[in-house]
Amino acid sequence: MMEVIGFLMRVLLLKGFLKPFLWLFLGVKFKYQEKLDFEHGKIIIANHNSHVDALAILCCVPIRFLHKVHPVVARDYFYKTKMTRILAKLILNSVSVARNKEFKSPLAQCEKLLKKNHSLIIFPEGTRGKAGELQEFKHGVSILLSKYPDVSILPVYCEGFGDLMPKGEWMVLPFNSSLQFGRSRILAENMSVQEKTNIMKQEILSLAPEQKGVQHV
Amino acid sequence: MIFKLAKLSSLSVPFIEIFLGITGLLILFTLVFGLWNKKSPSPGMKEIVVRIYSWWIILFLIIFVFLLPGDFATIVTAFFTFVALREFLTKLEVTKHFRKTILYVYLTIPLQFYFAKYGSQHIFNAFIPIYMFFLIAMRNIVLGNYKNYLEFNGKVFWVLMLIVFGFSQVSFLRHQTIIGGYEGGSELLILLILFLTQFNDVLQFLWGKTMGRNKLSPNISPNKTTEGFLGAAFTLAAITAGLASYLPFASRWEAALFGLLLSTFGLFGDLNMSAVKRDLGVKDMDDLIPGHGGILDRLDSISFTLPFTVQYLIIRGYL
Repeated sequence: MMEVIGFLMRVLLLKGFLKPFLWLFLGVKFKYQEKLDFEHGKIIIANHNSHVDALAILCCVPIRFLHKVHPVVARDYFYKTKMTRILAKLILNSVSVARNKEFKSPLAQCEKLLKKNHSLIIFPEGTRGKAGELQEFKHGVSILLSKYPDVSILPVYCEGFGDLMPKGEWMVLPFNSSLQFGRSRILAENMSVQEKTNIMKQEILSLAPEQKGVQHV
Repeated sequence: MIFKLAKLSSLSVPFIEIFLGITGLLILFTLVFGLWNKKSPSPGMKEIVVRIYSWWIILFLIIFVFLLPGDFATIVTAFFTFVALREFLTKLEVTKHFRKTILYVYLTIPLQFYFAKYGSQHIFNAFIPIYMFFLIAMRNIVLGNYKNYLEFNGKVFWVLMLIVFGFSQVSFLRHQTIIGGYEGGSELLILLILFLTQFNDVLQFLWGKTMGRNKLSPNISPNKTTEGFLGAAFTLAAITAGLASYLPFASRWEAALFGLLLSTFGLFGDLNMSAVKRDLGVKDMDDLIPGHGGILDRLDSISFTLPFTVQYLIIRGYL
């Protein structure tokens, strides 16, 4: 019962309110290179600049797959208080990973979901970085991919989201930005973890629009 | 038939006449320039075809907005102003500083459009140039930082004037213009100004293409020629003189003078946006409509002719 209510709330919030809000008011353009399909498990990887990122990606997931896509959030940040915990569960439908060494296998929950053919949204940078800069990628996704080689990755580039709501700011302001979905692909099994991580970084960067040409700083 | 249409839509007869005339002209232009572009494509030609398409969109929007009742027109105009402002602010790197002030910059839009409809002429004309001038500075001072202070104040204030002050003039015309003895009403005046501004762009291109020798502003826009400008200005003056009975001016001569000035301001508006884009180092302000750029790429001349028209009407005592 709780799950059904949560699902309906998510549909209403994401499709009914958030997507039009992002598009009309904040000025986010959604661009796709292929039709989004989460029939089989996928890991959506994206650069991370603000809290808007995960919400914007979730907005684009078709309703029939919405229950199957889970953003991966940091346990120490989102599960700190009961309030954020409920919000993260209900609205984001999220799973958590521990960034510290609190648990033996921090990715256990993610693995369980991948086994069920569900999809994950992971920000390999691990934390929100500065707008326009890509930080060093963590290896979590590559480790997951080594265990589940038939899971494909779907690269996404969030452009300009750091301006909408930078780290440490709570005021969301409109600026033109875009969410660029790439093509999903399966990485070859025999690649090393480091190679996979490098390829993912390239995939995300290849979606970045041409240098905006802003000369003036 | 025209009378029937006028009764149905509560628009004046002159409005319907001009509207039908423009639609006919647009159909003609679409055919002629579309074929010309197919036969001998050139960058300038493509620009004109794109401009003609944007006319169609503007024309439909105008009709849509004028036929729907109440505040709809104001809200739609305010929304487009908002999109244009967002487009420009995105391109300004300086907005990363004094981020909290940007909220007030956006809030200017609902206030300015409220004043355009309900405010006095004074508050409408003073709100951005005077009140916002102080408010932006004061908000930044409260934020307590001086880095990029001058650059932020200068650029953001200028953008507010160009976009919010400029585009809100159309709502001011729509809601607060009652010109004695002018039966067309504000709808017709707006339609004519938008149309004449766009037509002026095409005239400049045509005169420049056939007679153009001397570049008017080689650094800012290499397509513009002195001959193109003069030819368009006098042609537009002849057109406004011919349409004098549809314009609110006292005499045919004044209508001609208005056409001449309108053409000049249109040229400056066009060059203004070109200079902005060149300074920013971008080709288009946005990629809202693929191939057509953003809103500001289409509304360049209008951003100067609209404020000019309102100020002209005020100075000459029509408002």
